Amino acid sequence: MKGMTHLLSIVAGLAAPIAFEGWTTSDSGPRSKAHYAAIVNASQSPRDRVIAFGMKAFDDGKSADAVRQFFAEDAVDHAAGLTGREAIAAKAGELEWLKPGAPRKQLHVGSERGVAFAHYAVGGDAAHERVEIYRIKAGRITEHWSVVGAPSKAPQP
Amino acid sequence: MEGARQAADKQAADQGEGGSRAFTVIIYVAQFFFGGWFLYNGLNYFIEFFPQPAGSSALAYQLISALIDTGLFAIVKILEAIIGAMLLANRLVPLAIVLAFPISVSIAHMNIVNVQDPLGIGTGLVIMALNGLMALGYLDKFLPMLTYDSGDPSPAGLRSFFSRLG
Repeated sequence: MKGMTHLLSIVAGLAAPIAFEGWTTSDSGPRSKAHYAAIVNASQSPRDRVIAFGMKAFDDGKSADAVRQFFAEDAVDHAAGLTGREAIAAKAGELEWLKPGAPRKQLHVGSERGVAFAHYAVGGDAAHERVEIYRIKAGRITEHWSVVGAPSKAPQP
Repeated sequence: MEGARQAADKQAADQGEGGSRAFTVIIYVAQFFFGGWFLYNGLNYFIEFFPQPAGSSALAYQLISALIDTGLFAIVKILEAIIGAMLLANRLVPLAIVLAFPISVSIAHMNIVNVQDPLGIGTGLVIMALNGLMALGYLDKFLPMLTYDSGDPSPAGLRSFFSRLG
């Protein structure tokens, strides 16, 4: 292979995959950031999803945004009697125990066969303990229940 | 009569040469596309021209995550970059083709079996086709490997190797 032909071949050999990858990884391509984000969502275990949801909702103080990110569009919140992600997100923004700075501590997180739970101790004037139960399909929370009760007198972990 | 036969022989030779040239061009296209693809994707792991693909299915994601966590993915990507550079430089090409083969099989398997979307299946088929085409293009270099009865091992290869270096 002669020098100039070789050089042009190298340029073409690099340009073709760069152009192809550029298209596939663009926002409209089949390997966009949204595509990979959906795969990551679907690949995390229910426990990991609940932990990630809790980090965004509680630690970052963005409960409504967290609902929009982690709940399925047609999710059902049995605790609040609501259906649909937007309705749940609006309600989440109003709940006192979810507001930034509210005194709460996550005690346990667990999951089994598509259902995950998180156990919280909430302090302040309305101190209580609660267990949030989530059904998760394809990385999205599809159902939510709450169990609320008086604070335990047993030492907390 | 003799003249007609010579003309026919020349025509056949010209056609054979033309076919041989077309074959060479096809193999070079495969080689340089494959080389560019491997070099670009190999370097991307370290330089990130585009976001490192995390896997296009849950299984592929878990597999790639495990490969990254164990450090094996970095080795694969270094190999990809080296193989790509060898193919683009048009040097040690038969060795590059052999080195690329297990990586191609792994990529094809993950895309065809685990990802299963049109782009994944296409990628798997194309990478195997390109690797196979290149192997055919340099088949004469691999023919000694296809000896059925290889006989006894001997230092003849080592002698030949070092005499070339010397």
